[in-house]
Amino acid sequence: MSWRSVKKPAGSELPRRRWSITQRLVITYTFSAIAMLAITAVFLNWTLHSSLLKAEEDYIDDRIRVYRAIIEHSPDFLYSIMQDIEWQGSFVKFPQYYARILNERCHTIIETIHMNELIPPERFPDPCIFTKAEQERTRARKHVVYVGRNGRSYLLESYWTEKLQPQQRVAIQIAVDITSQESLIRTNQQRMVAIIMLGIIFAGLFSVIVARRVLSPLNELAETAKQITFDKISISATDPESWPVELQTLALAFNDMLARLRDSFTRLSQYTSNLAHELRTPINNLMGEAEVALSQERSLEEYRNVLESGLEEHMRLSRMIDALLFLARAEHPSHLMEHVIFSPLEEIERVCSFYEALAEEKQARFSWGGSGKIEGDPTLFRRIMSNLISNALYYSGAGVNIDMQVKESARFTEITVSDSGYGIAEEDLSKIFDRFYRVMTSRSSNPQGSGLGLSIVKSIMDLHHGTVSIRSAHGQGTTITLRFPSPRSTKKPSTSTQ
Amino acid sequence: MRILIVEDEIKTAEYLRKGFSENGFVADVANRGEDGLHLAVTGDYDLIILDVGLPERSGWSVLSELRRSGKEMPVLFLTARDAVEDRIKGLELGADDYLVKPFVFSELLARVRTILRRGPLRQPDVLTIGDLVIDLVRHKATRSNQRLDLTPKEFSLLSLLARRAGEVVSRTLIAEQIWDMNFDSDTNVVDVAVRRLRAKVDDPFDKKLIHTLRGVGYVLEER
Repeated sequence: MSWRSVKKPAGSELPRRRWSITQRLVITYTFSAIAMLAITAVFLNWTLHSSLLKAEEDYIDDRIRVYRAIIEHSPDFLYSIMQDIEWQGSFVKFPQYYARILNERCHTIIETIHMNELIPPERFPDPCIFTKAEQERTRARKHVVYVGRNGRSYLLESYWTEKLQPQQRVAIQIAVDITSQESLIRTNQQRMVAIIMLGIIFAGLFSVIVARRVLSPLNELAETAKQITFDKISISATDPESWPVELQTLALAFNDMLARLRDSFTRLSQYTSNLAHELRTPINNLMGEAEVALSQERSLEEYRNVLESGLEEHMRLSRMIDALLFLARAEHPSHLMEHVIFSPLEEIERVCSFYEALAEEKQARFSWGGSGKIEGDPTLFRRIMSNLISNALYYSGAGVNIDMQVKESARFTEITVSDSGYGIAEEDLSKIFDRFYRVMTSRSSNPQGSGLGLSIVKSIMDLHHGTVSIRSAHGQGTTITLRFPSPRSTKKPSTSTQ
Repeated sequence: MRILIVEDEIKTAEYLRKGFSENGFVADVANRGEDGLHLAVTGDYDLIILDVGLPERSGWSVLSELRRSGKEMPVLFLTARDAVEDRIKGLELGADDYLVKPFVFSELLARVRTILRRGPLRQPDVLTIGDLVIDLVRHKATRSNQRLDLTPKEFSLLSLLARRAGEVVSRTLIAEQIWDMNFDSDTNVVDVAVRRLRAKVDDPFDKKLIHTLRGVGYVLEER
């Protein structure tokens, strides 16, 4: 029995009540207990009733068979039967059965004493039926329960004998006292009701206890969650090992979430301190240069130098702000980006032509190849390639080889950018996509760098629902793999507003 | 040329006024939207530089009020918000251009000049700066009648500088115009490219035409 089926259908005008899980469980358990007990009770009652009745019916049948035998075989049967029923009526206070013989005209020939006051002949089934068809029907056994005037219950049955010569046929009516059986059934019913009541109470209490017990880990989880604050992120939900499996999954997920949160917090605080550091450097330069310049009279040329140097620092700050704004906007779904299908190889060629001059100075060699298409924003893709090529050029010695390959498969288009540069140490690899994270040596290799290049690559890949992965080892070059979902597999309607 | 600067940040307004005055403009400053609107409606300005984030009356409101009063002079928006919707809103209201803070003054100046120049003026086919002659149709550049052997990119770069002769062209603009790298890219690349161009255009000659403005960009002019 599902509780859901009892719920109001959606869209009902009544305000939907919110049930707690405990309430739901208790109600479900209780209702199923009621249903089970009720079915059992009804079945038992029916079985008892029918088996008792069967015994009485058999008894009546016996009596009828005896009377029939007497009537059919003894010419003075009335006398024999009279003796039997008189004995019953005279000496027994509550005779076990009453009997009556009717003639064909439906007049009583003989009957047990007082029977007429208690059970009139017309109360019996088919008291006086004489047509042929109806006679046939009366052969089918029929019984009636009748409460007599003395308050006792009787099971009634009648039987017509065959036509006998010289007598005419007669009807036998027999009433069996079933008061004790009836009261047994009634007592039984009362007990059943009592048992059902007890069962309901028991099921209710039991389910309350079980629900509380089962749900107690949830409260514990809530308590743990309540205790988590910004500075106390490291509390974990206590020993989920002893919990039920379903809740264990929840608790483990909860612990996982806490771990991820902790990680994010660490990254956030690292990000903040990195950001502060990146801001401090140009501002420190600005303050220091201006202060030193103002400490004494200087030539026009020197002032000009200070201003120009200051301008460079300001440009650096401005670029940093642009990059941060780009990252912030990329997290917004409203970010407007193009959705066109383009050839990454063409864009790679364009970006390489931009870096050509710098590459020649560094004796770097570009190579590219492969084929494939990407759906997305070509400008953003150029930005990715620009950042990656720039990194490859800065973090390498002279004569570096930078190879870019495009490979298309059924599900994605893959672009690998590999260089033979310095490579990245293993401990830095996991943080390389963090904002402002810079490998220790990178500040000297590329003082103009902002530490945001790979973060931007990652956020552009996110915008394209793609992934970026890096493989590198210290001194063994770096390979970056970009995976764009293939244009065919992204048949969703374009979200672009362009 | 008379321009009106409506900007609530005093320092910004002051350096803008100074910058424009020194570049041959007559510049007035209003620090509040109401004052700016009053000046714009009553005065006769060739261009208005309008900050969006003004107290009391926003730049947008000033612009729409201005257009309602029938003033059609060009308006350039300055905004610290570079959300694309903001830009579109400004342009829809009838602004001619927008610039996101922080910006380089030379770029603002170049844009103002471009807006004021807009109209019947046509780009000439041949540009001449001193003894440098650039034939934009034949893709040919000569100096002192000597043919300069330039790659296509170098030619584009030289033409860009020449078309804006006397104006500072920022590295970002160069990267945008020549290589279509319209985002913050590695500006060192531009320096290298300009250095190579100089080797062909300036190094063989006594008189230098390409000048560096440190921290800002490059300018091509006869000095």
